[in-house]
Formats: sequence, C-alpha cells, structure tokens
Amino acid sequence: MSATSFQIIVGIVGSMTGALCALAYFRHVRLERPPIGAFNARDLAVLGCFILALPPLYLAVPVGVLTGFLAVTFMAALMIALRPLVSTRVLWIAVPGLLIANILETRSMNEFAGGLQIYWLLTTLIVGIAAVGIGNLYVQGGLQLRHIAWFTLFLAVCDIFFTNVVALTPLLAISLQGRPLDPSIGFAASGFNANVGLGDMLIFCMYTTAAYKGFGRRGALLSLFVIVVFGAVGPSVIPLLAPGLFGTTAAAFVPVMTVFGPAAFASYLWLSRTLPERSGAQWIIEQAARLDRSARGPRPRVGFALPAGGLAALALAVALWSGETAVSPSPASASPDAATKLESAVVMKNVAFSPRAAKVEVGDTVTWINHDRVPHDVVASSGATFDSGTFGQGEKFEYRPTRPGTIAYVCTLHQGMNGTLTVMR
Amino acid sequence: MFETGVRQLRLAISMVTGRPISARNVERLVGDTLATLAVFGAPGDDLQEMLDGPFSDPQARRAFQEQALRRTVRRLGRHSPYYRDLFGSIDLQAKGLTLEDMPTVPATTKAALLARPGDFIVDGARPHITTRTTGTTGQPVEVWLSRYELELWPALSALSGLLRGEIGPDDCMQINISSRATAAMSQNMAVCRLVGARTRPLGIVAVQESLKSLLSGADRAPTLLATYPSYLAQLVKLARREGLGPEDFRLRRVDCGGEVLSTALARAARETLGPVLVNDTFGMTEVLPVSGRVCEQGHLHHDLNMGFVEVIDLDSGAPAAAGELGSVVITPYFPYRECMPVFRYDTRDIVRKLADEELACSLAGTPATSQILGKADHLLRVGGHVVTPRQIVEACEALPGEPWPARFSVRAQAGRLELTLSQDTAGELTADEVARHIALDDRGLTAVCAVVDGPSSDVLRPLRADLIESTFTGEPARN
Repeated sequence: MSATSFQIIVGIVGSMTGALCALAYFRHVRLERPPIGAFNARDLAVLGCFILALPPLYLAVPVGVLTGFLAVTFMAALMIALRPLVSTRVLWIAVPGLLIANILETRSMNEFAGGLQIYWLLTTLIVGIAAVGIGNLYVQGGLQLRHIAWFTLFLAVCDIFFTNVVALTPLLAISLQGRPLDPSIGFAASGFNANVGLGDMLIFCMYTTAAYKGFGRRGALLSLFVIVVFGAVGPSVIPLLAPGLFGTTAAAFVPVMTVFGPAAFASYLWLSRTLPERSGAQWIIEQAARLDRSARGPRPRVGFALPAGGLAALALAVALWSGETAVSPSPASASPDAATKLESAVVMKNVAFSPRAAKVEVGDTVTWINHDRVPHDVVASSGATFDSGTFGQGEKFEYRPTRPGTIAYVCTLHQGMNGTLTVMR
Repeated sequence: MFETGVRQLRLAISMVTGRPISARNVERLVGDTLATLAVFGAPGDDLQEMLDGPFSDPQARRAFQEQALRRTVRRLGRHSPYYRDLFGSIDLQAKGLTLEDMPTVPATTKAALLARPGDFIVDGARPHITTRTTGTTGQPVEVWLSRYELELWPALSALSGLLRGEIGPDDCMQINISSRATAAMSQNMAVCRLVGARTRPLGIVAVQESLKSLLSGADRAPTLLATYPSYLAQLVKLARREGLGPEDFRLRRVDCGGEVLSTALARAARETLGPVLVNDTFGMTEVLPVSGRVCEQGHLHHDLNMGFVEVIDLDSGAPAAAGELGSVVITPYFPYRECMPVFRYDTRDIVRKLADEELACSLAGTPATSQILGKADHLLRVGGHVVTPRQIVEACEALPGEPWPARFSVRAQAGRLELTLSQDTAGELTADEVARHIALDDRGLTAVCAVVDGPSSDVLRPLRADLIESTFTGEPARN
C-alpha cells in the first residue's frame, strides 16, 4: 500500500463517517436555538476572519497556551453537540475526561505499541463529534447551502494563498501533528500517517446537512458524492497527476478546499437550478412530522449504509443515539392507532405555535400537538372553519385541508398565539 | 446570529446596569426577529423567559426590583425637582432601599402632577411632544415625552409584539383612538413601521367610516384594531345592523383600553367580527411604558421588566392584602422613563390583589391582580358592600338586546343603588325589568332603576366614543 492509497482510505472513511454522522444527527437531534437569530452569510464572514487569523496564531503562541485554547474550544463544542443526547451530569465528567485522556495519551503515545493509534482514535473521536455538533449548529441555526457553497469558494482562495503564496498551511499541518488536541481526524498504520483537518471536516458536515435540508435526499446524495470525489480522493491524487502544481515546498500537500470548493459550488448551482432551496421553516415542518411519525413505532435505525469499519466516533455516536435523546415521543403520539398519514405537525409550546407559518398540500393531515402545561385550542379565523375545542398537554388535534389557500388560525385562550397554514395544490 | 448575540448582550447590559438603552440597537433586534421569522417561521426556544424575565424565582425578582428602584431613586433624587424635594423631606436614600421601604414614600397623585407639572420634568431633559389624558376625571394631565422615549418604547413594543405573534409584516392595524392621544397613536404607528405592517390611523371618526375601512382592501383589510370598548360597541352594532358577519372581516385581534370591556361586549365582538382575540389592555399615559396583559383566566399580569407595581389599600395607603381591593401604584424604572418620570404614581385604578400561589395560568410566573375594576372615585358603598364600576358595566351590558356601550349613571342613595340608563341601553325593558335582570344571581346587584331618553341622557356617564372627530366624508365636494 502506498502513502497515497492510505491517505485516500483515511480521507474517504473519515469524511464519509463525519458527513453521515452529521446527517443522522441532523435528522434525529434538534439543537436548541435562541429566540432571536439565524445564522447567515455575515456569520460565515466572522468565521472566515477567525480562519484567517488562526494559522498564524497557532504558530505564534506557546504550546501550553495553544493546548489551553483548544481544550476550551473542544469543551464548548462537545458540550453543544452532546447536550441533547447525554445528561448534563455525565457530560461534565465525560467531556473533560476525554480531553484529559487525549492530552495524557499524547505525552506517552510513543512509549508503548499502538500508542499512535490510540492517540488518533481519541483525537478523531473529539474532533469528529465537534465537527458534527458545530456543523449542525450552523445548519439547524439557519445556514443554507448557498451560504456554504460561497464559503467553500472563499476557503479555496484562502487555501491557495496560504499554501502557494504564504506557505503557512503545510507548516501548520506538520507542526500540529502529535500535539495534544490536534484539530484533525486521522489514523496511522504500517508506517503511514494520514489525516483530514477539522476545518475540512466541519465543511463536509455543514455541506451535507445543508444540502439535505435544502434539497432533500437528492442533495444529500450529491453532497456525499462530491465529498468522496473532490474532498477525499481528489486532493490525494492531484500530486500524482500534476506534480509541482502546489509549489515545491508543498509538492505533496494539496489543501482539500482548493479542490472541494469549486466542485461544491458547482454542485450547488446545479441543485439550485433543478429545485428551489427549501427554507428552514419548511424543514421544521417536515422534521416535526417525521419525528412524530418515528416516535409512534419502534425507534428507527440510522437510515444510511455506513461504511464498514467505521471509526470509534461513529460507534459512540450510534451508541448515544440509542440512549436517551432529545427526541422523546410526545404523549400525544404514543398511541399506535394514531393517524397513519401524518404529513405535518405544529407544536404548541411556550404558548406559541411552532412553526407559526406552515405549508402543506391539499389532503395532508395537519396535527397540532400541545406540549404546554396549559390548555390550548385551535380555531380558524379565516380561510376555513374548524374549532378544536380545548385540549391539554399531550393531546392533539388534526385537520385535513380540502382546498388551496391560506388559513389563519388562533388559540382563543391565549393572546397573540396565532399561525397560518398555506395550503398548496 | 453573531450580530444578534452582540445586540442582545448590549440590551441586557443596559437593562441590568440601568444605562440608557439604544433605541437603534433595539430596532436592529426587531430586524433580526423579522429575519428569524422569515427563516424559521417562529422564534426559537426559551422565548417565555426572554419575554417575561426570570421572575418566577422570588429571590431573583426581588433583587432585580430593588436594584431598579435604587437606580430610579438615585436619578430622580438628583434630576427631578419634584422628587428632589420629596425625597429630601423624607430623607430617602437610594443606597440600601428595599421593597419594604416603598410604602414609606408618599404616592404621587394626579393632583400633584396638575399642580406642579414643570417640576416633574427632569433637569437637562429635552421634551419633544406632549400627550394629554382625555380628562374623563375632569381635568386633563399634560405629560411631556422626549425623543428618546418616543423611539425606545415602540422599538421595545415591536420586539415584544413580533416575538409574541401579536403583530407581523402581513398585518394591517386600524387605529380608532382619539387623535389627541398622541403617545398611543404615535406608538402604534411606529410599531407598525418597525415591523413592516400597514397602519390606518383613523381616530374617533364617524363609525360608518371606520366600519367601511375595516371592510376595504380585501386581503389587505385590517387584521388588528386598536380602539376603546365604547367605540368597539358602536362598530359591532353597526356591523350587525348592516348584516355583516365573521366572513366579512379579516380581523384577528382587537385591543381595547381606556374603559371597562365587558364580557358581553367581548362575546358580541367575537360573534360579529369572527374568532378574534379581544384584549382588555392596561396602559396609562402617566406611567408609560409600564403596561399589563390579561391572561386567559382574566388576571391582569403586570410588566415587571419596566416598572414596579404595588396595590395599596384605598383608605390607609398601606399594601393591600391578598383578596382585598386596592389602587394600582406604578413606578416606571429608569432608563425606560426619562423626561417626566413619576415615582409611586397612584393610578386610582381599582383591582383586587391576588396571591401568587392562586395563579395557575400560562403567565403564572408573573404577579397578577384582577382586571381593572374601575376608577377609585367611582366606587360605591352600599349597605356595607363595595360596588365597582366593572360590576355595573358588566350588569348593564349583559341586558338582553344590544345594550353596549352601556350609557348610565349610578349613585348610592340611602343605602341602595340608583341606576339610570339610556333607552338605548335598556332596549325594550322597563325600569323594573332592568332591576330584576341585574339582580340575577350572577350579578347580584340590587338597584332602583330608571330609564331616560332625550336631553336628560346628558347626565349619563361620558364615553370615549363621544370624543368624535369631524371629517368632510359624505359632504359634497368643495373646491
């Protein structure tokens, strides 16, 4: 096996595992979001500034300070990612424990056989979970594929600059390896060592989930294809196909985004020409309906074929999903004889309808589920005539629109609690 | 998201430290909320705590209130001529002030505002616009507002309204309140501007004109109506007379204030205008921007973020006990009130105090009282019982037919109520039948009744719907 083959294998397994875990997380776990605020292009601009500032900072600061910075960053990222899945008490023990284990293992990895492999497994686990969680935070928080597509182009330019003009990236990649909390995933075997950076992993996770959110299954499949070909294989084979393209000092170092960025952008353009990108509100409606459906029957397994030999991150993630998660079945939907053709769900929580504006098709069954401890009702104020009567926590009301148009409805018990249904043909 | 976080942090720091709040910053948060709604269709998690504050914890509530009161006392003691004198005379110190000290501060009365209006304007303030109360108690109070207040209050209202779903860019608000109520009028218009909603500020014009406006514009017809209960009653009556029903209107909410809104009128409005939310709101020019919201169980929940609310005994001025009637006393906090602030202003609005543990509604975390029961000066004592204006209004407007807006006068005479109603209110009932009707179990009022018509109805209570403003509508065109 050559170094290139090893890099390709690690790249494919790592990037696919990350992307699929991010997708599974996106489908099954709902991250809390603040009452006001949605991620947008300006947030990516802020992220871009950090990305520009970090390489010189990494190289300039002492190892102890850098390790401290990385420890705080990973601590926050892991807490965000795992909080919906694990109880807070367990988190406060497990997350610092994982980080300390990584730091200690880094110091002693050369002292015993398999030390390097254990180092990579621990690092991969930490970085993988962080990438999945933070990628989801951005995408569930409102970021769309168009934002990410443009961002990958920006990163491609940055990578070219920091590789061919100011050769910071290769220097950084080399200098971070073997340090505590190296921000990358990777593996070592048979004398080979290969890795994928945290930034690239984060982009893969965001790209896949945003593609799925915006364009459904077609978007997800295309994004996975682009990641494998242009994110994992492409950067590894380019040095063979075009030696010297990325300069003499980094002849064998091709930053992933230089290849992935243009391809990701092109695939976004293609997707957006075939379908309009789905909004966050539409995704919320579909997610609520699907979660409600899945809560009725046996818990669904992760619906993707996972690559054999998945990394420890995947094992942990799957193990976590099978435990207590934020996706708890509502009492309302626990009965097995509940509606079989549920297309949309509106949650009544915090004395508000969520989503407030829902879009459904004629004939779809819309279900309002009361998650509040106070009773509510659902009364059409225009566009239809229905009145649910008052129903309490855990109970629900169903309505099936029969003609297109806009239906405005209110809870007559609570001032300001209102919503609309846009019924499409 | 990042910018929104910074703006929220700026707002939180201002609220906690008591520094002036940047209206521009709040306006930008309104823009962020609009963007959030456009992306997700609804605000995010933990909305309730953000809107109502962490006040379900009595300790946190107390700490916040004491800090805000000390800040307000410090500012008024330095900059308000009236309160400089008052606090000096009772040696009130901001440092160490506790809630228990509040009853020792004399309440500010309307008489004081009328007698020394200039002394309430703080040093260095730049009054921008005046707003006058309607003068229903005989003499109007003139309250000056600064540009800061005129910009800040609508921004905060727009933010709260958007998050609560009370207003949105697709709404159109028709305003049928007196054009002289400049604070309320400009506030409503500014809120609409900030959220991108349309506004129809009509004033108290002929009711036919307002009804026509409610119906015009098809899918752009008004969805929100701000008015007085008596004017709403006239609108509902006219709509019924013209055979209009729920399918003719697009309204989703009616905000009523300034008068008692009876249960019967609210029900009639829902029957005629559709399943709208008819809100009985509480606000008063002198204590703006502190307001109250009525929950689904009919409690009036007071705004704890912007002011301190007490209920005092009508006779002694001491804190009223749970279950007792009392007058609402409000202290708007600095920096929400800047130009002509008041401290412990006795609104003379009567409520019944509720114990915190009695609450089991959706706003149970926020202290509440009963709804406003009327003005203290209109309370009647009959045979050892107190009769509130709300009881009379509720009883009169529950008469058969369409008795709203109830026009009546009432007085306690020789241990009994003497109630005089207009013919419009009594409908086809005789005076005796009216007396029997209001004596029914659920109302329990025993009164001697009389029905009057014609000029003698001038002695009946004034209604805000009578503050009619002229237009040339319907007259021949004049060049």
